Amino acid sequence: MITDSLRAALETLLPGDGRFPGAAAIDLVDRMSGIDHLHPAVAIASKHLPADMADRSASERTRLLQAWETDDPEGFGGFVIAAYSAYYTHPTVLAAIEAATGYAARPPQPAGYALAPFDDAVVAVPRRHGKRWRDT
Amino acid sequence: MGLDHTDVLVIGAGAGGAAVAWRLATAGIQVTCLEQGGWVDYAQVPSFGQDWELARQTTHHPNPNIRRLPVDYPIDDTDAAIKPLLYNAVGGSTIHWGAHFPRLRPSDFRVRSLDGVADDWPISYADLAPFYDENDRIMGVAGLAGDPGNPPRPKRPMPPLPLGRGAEVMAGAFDRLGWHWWPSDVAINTIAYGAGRGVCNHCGPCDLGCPVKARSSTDVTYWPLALNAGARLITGARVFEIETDPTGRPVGAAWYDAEGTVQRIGADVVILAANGIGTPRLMLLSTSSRFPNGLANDTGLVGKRLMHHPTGMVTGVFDEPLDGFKGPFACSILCQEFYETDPARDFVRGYQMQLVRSDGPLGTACGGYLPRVPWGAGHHDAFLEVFGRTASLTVTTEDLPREENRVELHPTLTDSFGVPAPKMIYSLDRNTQAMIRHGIASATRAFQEAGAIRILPQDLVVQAGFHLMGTARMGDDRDTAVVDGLCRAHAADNLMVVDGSVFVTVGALNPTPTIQAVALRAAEALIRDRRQIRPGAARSAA
Ligand SMILES: Cc1cc2nc3c(=O)[nH]c(=O)nc-3n(C[C@H](O)[C@H](O)[C@H](O)COP(=O)(O)OP(=O)(O)OC[C@H]3O[C@@H](n4cnc5c(N)ncnc54)[C@H](O)[C@@H]3O)c2cc1C
Repeated sequence: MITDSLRAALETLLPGDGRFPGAAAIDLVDRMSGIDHLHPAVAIASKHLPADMADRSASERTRLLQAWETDDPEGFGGFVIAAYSAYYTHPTVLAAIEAATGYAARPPQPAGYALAPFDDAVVAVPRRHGKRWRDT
Repeated sequence: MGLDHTDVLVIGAGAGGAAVAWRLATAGIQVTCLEQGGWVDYAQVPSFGQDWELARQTTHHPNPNIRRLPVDYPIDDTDAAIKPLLYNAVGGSTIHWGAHFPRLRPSDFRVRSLDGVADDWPISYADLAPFYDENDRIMGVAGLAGDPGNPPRPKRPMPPLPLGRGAEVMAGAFDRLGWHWWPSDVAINTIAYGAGRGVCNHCGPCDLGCPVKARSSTDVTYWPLALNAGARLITGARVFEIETDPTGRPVGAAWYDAEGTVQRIGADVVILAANGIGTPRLMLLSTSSRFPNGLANDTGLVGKRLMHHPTGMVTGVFDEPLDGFKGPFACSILCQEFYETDPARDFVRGYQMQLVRSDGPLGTACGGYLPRVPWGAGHHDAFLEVFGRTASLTVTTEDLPREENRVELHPTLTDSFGVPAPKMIYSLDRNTQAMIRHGIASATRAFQEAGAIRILPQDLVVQAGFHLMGTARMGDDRDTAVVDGLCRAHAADNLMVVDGSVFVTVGALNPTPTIQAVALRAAEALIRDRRQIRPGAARSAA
């Protein structure tokens, strides 16, 4: 029951579209339950969500979450961050981001990124400024 | 000699503790450092894994109340408008830091004389300059000489970091506005520098710990040198009391080892370097008949005058990819156009704007630099509109000291050993609020000039208590200061404090080079004047 309510809430937060999977499609509830640090937020959500969340219409679910957000921005914010934390580190979502933006679905190390070296010419203007600090 | 006695005991192996331990050890003084954390294992840092951004939100969050590691102690921040960020390990908070490496300006040491507020430091920029230089040499600094915003300095040993597209765009805007800007001084290797250290590969999340050892942290800079020079570092050692003799003079410390067993060590000199929260906590914990209100707390100022750098943030969204996830997250360029007091403004003192690059996908979605991406039907479009297309300017303001902003002991909350935890009480004053408003307007103006298509301001970044200062202030007058200009406690001259606690005022920029320069200067004075240390300590000294 609780799991169904959570699943419905998560799908409302993070619905799928042609580019991105919805929360249910990647079983976000299961992923969140595997991450210790997210448990407190999940516990708060489980207490807060009505048992029949999954049976409500999409617009009702949205309204319920909006009401929670207004009444308890901190508790709700923690739940959203927990949901995003699990979602945006899921390989399927990272692959979707790579497809949409070119951002490589790989960790920052060990490859790092290439950047053009610093070029002195860029400070030509500020170099000409007069002294900008106060004598004491 | 076993664990029973040391000439100098340093508590805390972070920025200040490492610097002081290195300098004393190289002078032949027997130094022992007690650190509650352990060494970072760079083979295990999260930036090698797909879940690196999750680690940033959880196990590697800079707020100890969120990451909740066994070595962390809780900090009650319910009455604090800005939340504490720090790290407990060899290297201290430099394990997490962005490595922005600026110096205070000369005027920052003369705030009372110049602007009629707060207090002057008992030391000047000129007093610290040689120690800033020495610290640069050990930590390694990349940057560019010739900044019109700061006193002349020698050429840095390494060139600045690559700007990246976002900084190029903003530099152009600053130029058109006629505003100051300059490439940031950073403690990041842009070319080979320092034994066993690599060169930055622009991976981005320096705060997860730099496996290349390009981003300086004191576990890879000072500590190897200090250990080589004979310093002893004991990890997993949570100090809970500075012990004193019947006259109130510190004689050593008591700590819990990793197994929870109480250990003790005697010392001729005790140096606190546990940071702006940890140090007042220890002083307040160490009561005696001589110091019923906490060690060396005759003034009642220990824990008071807590200062941060209250931070506003403005993010510009651009219609081109800026790839801000490439390059050290915190560092590229800064603008000090509004740094000094201007009587035409409705506040005294000033602020710096620091360009930060952008986040990975999770950081972008959760917000921080920009507001959280809204949930629901429009979520993915909103995410794609901002991801990789933003640059942000911090508005880093100068906080002024107020006694009501403070660290005290919590009446009931304790750490895992049952030692009372600290509580932060902190609010912003009107001067700071006015400064943040002005800064947000300035940053907004800069983004408009740069052609941002959307500009998203945030009044106050709450998770921004990374600079913890002022809680054991320095001063010549023993009635109004905890330590003197050489970091010696007025009320117990074999007790020293060498972290951000001693700051009298804080300027409007990152404090660590100043913490370390102050620590090196204090060490130099202790070496010169060894009265506190038993004669044997000088045996191998030059
Ligand atoms: C996310 C982040 C970004 C930052 N970015 C920058 C930046 O770009 N530039 C900059 O200048 N500064 C930056 N800072 C701040 C910088 O890290 C600190 O100013 C600096 O590390 C403070 O040095 P310290 O020696 O006072 O304390 P710390 O470096 O915090 O070290 C204190 C040490 O004392 C130990 N300790 C505390 N209590 C006890 C105890 N009871 N027993 C034993 N050990 C104890 C702790 O475990 C810790 O290792 C940043 C900080 C954070 C968290």
